[in-house]
Amino acid sequence: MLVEVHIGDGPLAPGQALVCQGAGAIFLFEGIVRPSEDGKPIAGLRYETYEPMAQSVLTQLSQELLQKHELMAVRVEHSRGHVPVGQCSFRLQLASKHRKEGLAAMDEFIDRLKQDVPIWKTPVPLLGGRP
Amino acid sequence: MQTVPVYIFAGGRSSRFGSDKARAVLAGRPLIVHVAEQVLPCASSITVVADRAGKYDDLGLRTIPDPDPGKGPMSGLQTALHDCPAPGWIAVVSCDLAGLKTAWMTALLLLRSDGPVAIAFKGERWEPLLALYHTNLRDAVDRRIASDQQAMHRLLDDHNSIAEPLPADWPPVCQVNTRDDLDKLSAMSVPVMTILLFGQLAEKADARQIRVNLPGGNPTCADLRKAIAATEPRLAPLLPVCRFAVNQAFAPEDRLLKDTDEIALIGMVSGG
Repeated sequence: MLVEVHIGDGPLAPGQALVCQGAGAIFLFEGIVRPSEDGKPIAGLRYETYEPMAQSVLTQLSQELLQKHELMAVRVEHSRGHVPVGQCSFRLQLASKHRKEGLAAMDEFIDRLKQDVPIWKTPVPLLGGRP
Repeated sequence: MQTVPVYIFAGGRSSRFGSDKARAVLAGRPLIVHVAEQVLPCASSITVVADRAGKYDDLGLRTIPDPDPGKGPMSGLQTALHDCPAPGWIAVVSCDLAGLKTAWMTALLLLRSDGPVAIAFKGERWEPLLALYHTNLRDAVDRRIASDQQAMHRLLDDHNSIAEPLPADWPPVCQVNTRDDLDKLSAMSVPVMTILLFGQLAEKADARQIRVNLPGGNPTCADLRKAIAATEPRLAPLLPVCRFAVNQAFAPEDRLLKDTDEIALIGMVSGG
């Protein structure tokens, strides 16, 4: 399968590495929840998704970049609901023939994700921390 | 609020309209259904008085026959007053009063007292088909029918009637007599859209969804944007960076909207 998109509850479990025969480069990006947001300590982030639109926009974006950058495979995973600090909420893997187009595609994908995909995060304050 | 039996008059011949007005469609529903929906909160029962029994049963509206529909609303009133199971007030409304609002009926109900036998709106003229009548009027109405006196305004003038001024929001066209009236009402009709909210927008509005009235005609996303700013001022500062998703896909500002569309207001997203 060239494009795989998955939105699931809670933090992403460690996944299997993307395998793609004939690829010259495999890329992996993992977004990890930082321990603070706007300088305040947090317990985690709560992700809200508008589904199935989020799923379909991620799929369209994957297909568009697959063509544009002549990629060989794209796999996207995103969390919904609570993801504690230190855990993974977003994972993007892609396979390309060469390094350059793969790197460019990684960058463009994440920029577009933060612009077009109907997913929102809200910080979950640390209990006992300041509101 | 105490409720009363409501009688919807649909015995007219619709001669100026050309076909059965009660079934003329406004914003996807028959006129008589619009009227029934508005009176429902005030109604202990809803009964239609028409030229034959069962005529509007298919719309879920019990329909009783007016034995002499040619005699107009006075005969309808006689039928209703005799159908009413217990002494007291009944409400009467015409099936073509498509602009009717529940609040108007409520205003009439609040005026009930001992003594008067009718309560009706009166602008330049009486509105006898948006009124309350007391069963104490039964004999008087019988006599008028027997002596061929059919003018409703005379009935109201001659008996102890309360005249309530027309409501401030009474629209220029409230009743459908002609096709032209129906067109005007269609243009004025106000579909209500539900807008889904997420993230920061939901926080600001303190709601996961808001309901917004849209202007008639052919509303677009741009119209909706203005309507949201007016309805929910807390969202106004964020609106310039928002996009609309219609049926789960981003939509341009000139996209025409239907009242069946699923609409979401998409603010700044923050996935990843």
